[in-house]
Amino acid sequence: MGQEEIDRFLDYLRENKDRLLLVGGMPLSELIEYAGSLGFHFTAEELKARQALVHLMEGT
Amino acid sequence: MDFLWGLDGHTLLLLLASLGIALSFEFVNGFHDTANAVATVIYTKSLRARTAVVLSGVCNFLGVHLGGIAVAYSIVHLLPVDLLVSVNTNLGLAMVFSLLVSAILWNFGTWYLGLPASSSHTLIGAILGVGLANAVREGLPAGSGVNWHKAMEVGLSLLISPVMGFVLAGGLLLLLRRYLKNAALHSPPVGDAPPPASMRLALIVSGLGVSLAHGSNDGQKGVGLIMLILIGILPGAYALDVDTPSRDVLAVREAAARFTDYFDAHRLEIEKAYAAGALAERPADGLAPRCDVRGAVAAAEAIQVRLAQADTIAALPEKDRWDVRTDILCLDDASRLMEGMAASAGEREMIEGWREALRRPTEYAPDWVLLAVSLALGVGTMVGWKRIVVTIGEKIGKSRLSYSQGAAAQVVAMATIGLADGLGLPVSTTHVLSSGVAGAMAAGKSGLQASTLRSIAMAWAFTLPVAMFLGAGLFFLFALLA
Repeated sequence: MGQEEIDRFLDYLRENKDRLLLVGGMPLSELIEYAGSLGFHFTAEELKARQALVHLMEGT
Repeated sequence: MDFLWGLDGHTLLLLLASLGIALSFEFVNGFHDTANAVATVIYTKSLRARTAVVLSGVCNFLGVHLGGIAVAYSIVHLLPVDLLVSVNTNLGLAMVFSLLVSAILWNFGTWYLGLPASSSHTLIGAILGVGLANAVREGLPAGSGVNWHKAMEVGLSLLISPVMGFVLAGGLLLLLRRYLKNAALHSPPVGDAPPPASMRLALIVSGLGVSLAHGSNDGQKGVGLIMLILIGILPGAYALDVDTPSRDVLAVREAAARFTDYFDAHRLEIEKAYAAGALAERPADGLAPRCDVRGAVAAAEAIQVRLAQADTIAALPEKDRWDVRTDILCLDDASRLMEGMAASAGEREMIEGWREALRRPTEYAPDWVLLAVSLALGVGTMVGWKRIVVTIGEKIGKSRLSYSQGAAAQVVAMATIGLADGLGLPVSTTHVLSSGVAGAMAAGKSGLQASTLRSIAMAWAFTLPVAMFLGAGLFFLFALLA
């Protein structure tokens, strides 16, 4: 369900640092699948849009 | 493009390599900036990712064709006129290659390393570096290597445009908050729902407007580079626009005639200016022509004599086109200096009008150049979305943007870049858009984006000097090989 799911997933990763390290090296498709297996459902495009927003905000 | 068949293998290879590098610069620029152009419309679910990226690519493509060529020649004229009139020599080619290689190395390298960069600062830094290196190499004062008048204009444009973006986007957001009372317009996207219809339309139109403006401003940087290459490698074919209408050719002759009278009438003032040091003597080294105010009358007369024999540029023998271009650039430079010393605003306006008519055949871009640049930029934009690397971490978690903040930033960026196009000035499209977002966020009490300020500061403190050193270093190297 979009950006709120990404927020929830990120909150979850912050509370589980070992999993944060684990997803750091994952390819995008694998990351989406892994998040889905934990009950966080969002698409690759939604996550890329969030990353693009970081680039936009940071001027990179 | 029949000229290609008449080229020897070495020249053809040189030409294709240079064009390949210049188009790669535009391609890299396209995928470097994709995220900025489409982030808001995709994030807010105003458009699907694929639709947004394709439309953005198309708008970038169209922007190159609609933006004119004033920005392209603003970049070209950062180089001093002495270097521009010797661009057809080996040294000129060394200059073109240094610009190209340093710009693409830095642009690609910073993208690969995820460092903030601005292709405008990179290209402009490389041009300044090459100009300064050329002056040092020839034993001239380093300051004479750059057209400082143009450099000041371009520098101010790069400096002021992000400030405009920040302030105006912040102001626009405050207006939107005051007059649009629907709370949904001022909150970040929720779930899978697109924004309310009117806001969605505003986000789509302004997002595509940003892509159009990006194409018109950033595309011209590539157009400027390619024109330098073509003039350097194929001066006979590209020194002047062979499609210049005969009435414009006549206008060049008339302008040259007026300048002959003007410089003759101001001979005393010119000598006084030389004596007082307001005009500087330029030493001749015998290798390349030197432009000088004292030589303006001779240049103006030579233009009239050559153009008296031809109604059109196409009718002018190829070997004469380079000489006419050199005389036009030298006369234009001398007139610019006289414009600075003019007694009244009316006189300045009159000189400016003549200069405009004089330069017309030298400031152009063939359709195929616009097509190649627009394709490289458009395809680069489309590829860029696929190449976005997601890095899960703290940063990604904090980024939220409301519909109105996104729309305010995009509307202001579109207008600011459009204004720069109209004034013929290059801007960093990334800086304008990002500072617009920062302004809208600050006005929306979402906090001041320190990272945006850091990125902009890095372009000035890091990219500009590095590109200058890179450009200068490569120029010394290529000049040795030339």
